[in-house]
Amino acid sequence: MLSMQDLSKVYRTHLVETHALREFSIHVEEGEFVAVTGPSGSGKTTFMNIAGLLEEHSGGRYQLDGVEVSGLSDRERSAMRNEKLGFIFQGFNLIPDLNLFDNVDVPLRYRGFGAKERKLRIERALEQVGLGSRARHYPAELSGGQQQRVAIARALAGEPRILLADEPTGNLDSAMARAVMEILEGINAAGTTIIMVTHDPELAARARRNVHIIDGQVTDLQSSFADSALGVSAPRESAA
Amino acid sequence: MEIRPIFSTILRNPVGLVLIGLQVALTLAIVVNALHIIGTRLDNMRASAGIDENNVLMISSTAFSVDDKPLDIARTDLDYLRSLPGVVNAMAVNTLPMTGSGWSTQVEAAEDPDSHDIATAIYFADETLVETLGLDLIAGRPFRAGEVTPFSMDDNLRPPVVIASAAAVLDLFPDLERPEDALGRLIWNGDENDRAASEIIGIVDGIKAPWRGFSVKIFDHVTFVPHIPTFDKSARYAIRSEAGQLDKLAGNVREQLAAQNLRRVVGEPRTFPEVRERFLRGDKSMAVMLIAVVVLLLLVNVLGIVGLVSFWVTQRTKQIGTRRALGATRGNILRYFLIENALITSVGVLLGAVLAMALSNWLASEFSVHRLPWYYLAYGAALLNALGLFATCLPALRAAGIAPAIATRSV
Ligand SMILES: Nc1ncnc2c1ncn2[C@@H]1O[C@H](COP(=O)(O)OP(=O)(O)OP(=O)(O)O)[C@@H](O)[C@H]1O
Ligand SMILES: [Mg+2]
Repeated sequence: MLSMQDLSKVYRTHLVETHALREFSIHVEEGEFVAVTGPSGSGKTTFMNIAGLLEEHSGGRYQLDGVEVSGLSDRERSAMRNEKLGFIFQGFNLIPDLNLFDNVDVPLRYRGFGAKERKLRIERALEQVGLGSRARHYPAELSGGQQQRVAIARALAGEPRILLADEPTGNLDSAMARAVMEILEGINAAGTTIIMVTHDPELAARARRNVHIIDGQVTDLQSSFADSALGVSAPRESAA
Repeated sequence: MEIRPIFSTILRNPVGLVLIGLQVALTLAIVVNALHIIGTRLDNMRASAGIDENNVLMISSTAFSVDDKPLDIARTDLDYLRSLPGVVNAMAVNTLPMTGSGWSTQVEAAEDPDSHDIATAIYFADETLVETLGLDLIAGRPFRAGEVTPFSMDDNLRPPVVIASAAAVLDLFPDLERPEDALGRLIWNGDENDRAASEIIGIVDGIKAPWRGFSVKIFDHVTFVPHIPTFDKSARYAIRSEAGQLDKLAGNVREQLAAQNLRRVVGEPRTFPEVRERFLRGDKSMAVMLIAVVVLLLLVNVLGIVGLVSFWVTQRTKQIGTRRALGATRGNILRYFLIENALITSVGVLLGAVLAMALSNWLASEFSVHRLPWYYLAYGAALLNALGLFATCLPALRAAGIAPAIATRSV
């Protein structure tokens, strides 16, 4: 589904070069739920951005859903983000001047769906996150947890192959965080691959696979861990 | 394609709509009316004065003393001028078209002083007027020698017969279908207790008044009265040369006339082409000034839009990055801002069209200029829409260049 081999990412400013990722390799199978942990500045967001085609990598190979990403044009990358990827941001990133219906509508319009199809998908997605009755409300009228659920609905409405979530619960209290996590688990159970960055050891422990990034490199706590012992990743995380 | 959500976004933050909409509306209203005035001025520059412009000059004579019998001087001078080789004819006048100074009076269509009236310029003329000025007499007859009387500063203007311009009679008698039908009608002037009627005996086409002011109609309202002006010491003569002889005549006539009578000063002759050139200088500078105003307004309009859209782009940086992350292409982002601007500009243009018509109606009633033709509005609307899109492009291209990574990198 997602495969990175010896990937590198260098940020260059006129003063310094930052090697945000080095010899970075990871393979994610269809249907996996991967929790990414690691200390601040270790390269988690950089990994997510490259995985989500928000940034280009400097070296190495990256295949997404069987497509070699390196040669793609900006337009092709946009189309791939739109069709295959769903994004959930730490800050929700809803558009304040649009109501929930229109917020969920944003990626669907770029997709070029007809009005009927969009309406159906929007209503279904909002229903799925328990906000079906709030479609005409504006983001400012919602709690943080509700806003994040709208963002999840927005990511889901296009039926992506992979959901990328960078600290989706980072701005939420633990009760709201658990609610969001439950929704994500439901989505994953329905077959969607999820990669989630989190600082919360409890949430990371609930994922079937944990990936630890330190200094721009992966320390994979093999998938087998997830099956045998859920709690194993927790001590590791506490180091972050 | 995404008009509805963009429009509801605009309505949720109507400040931009109000600012840009009002700016566009005011710009449109002023610009189309200014362009209309410029257009009218350019037409004026092309307008003919209704006389044989290339062969007419005017010259003045001022006697040293009032006792010198101005009427006698005028008669002697005219006899002499008419005898000169290369001269078609000459007559005593008070003024000529486009000189910028002269007389005007109010005339009514009926005896009742409150009946429909117009303002008209008054030209003094004698029986030679058609020949001396090269007028286009489309109906009736010129004055007869016996009808022409002297007129001094102390006299009241009450000529028994007049020759009027076609435009004047059409405006004074709105029931007329053709100006020729005004022949035999009476025009009235004078105050309540002292009404005087003049019969229209001739109609002249195309003759212009000495001035225009803001009004276009006044420029076409002319009435000839059968009088020789005898104003104290000074006299003015219009002289028509044979075709192509005007410069030669202008070169000699001053000395020739002065030699006839040494007890006066003869002024520099003014050929009609000079008169016209000086008259249109005002039109030119007015047109130049209005063009400057138009350009300035359009520039302010463009800068205003560039400024506000730039502000929006900065304010919406994260939103734009998020849209890019959700699959928007650069083209989608560019299009978003262009549609937004087109919507706002359209609202402004609609409002501006109403304002422009109101302004035009006010100008029409206040200065009797012509109403704004509809196509000025159409062109103006198209121009402002095009400028709006152009102005939006600059910041919108910057918006299209915002990296999708902004979605995760900014707080
Ligand atoms: N645009 C950039 N230009 C230069 N350096 C950058 C840029 N973005 C990230 N970096 C650097 O790359 C490194 C990795 O950053 P990244 O955001 O991926 O870390 P992170 O693991 O997400 O941290 P956190 O847990 O604090 O979010 C950091 O040293 C950061 O300073
Ligand atoms: Mg991060």
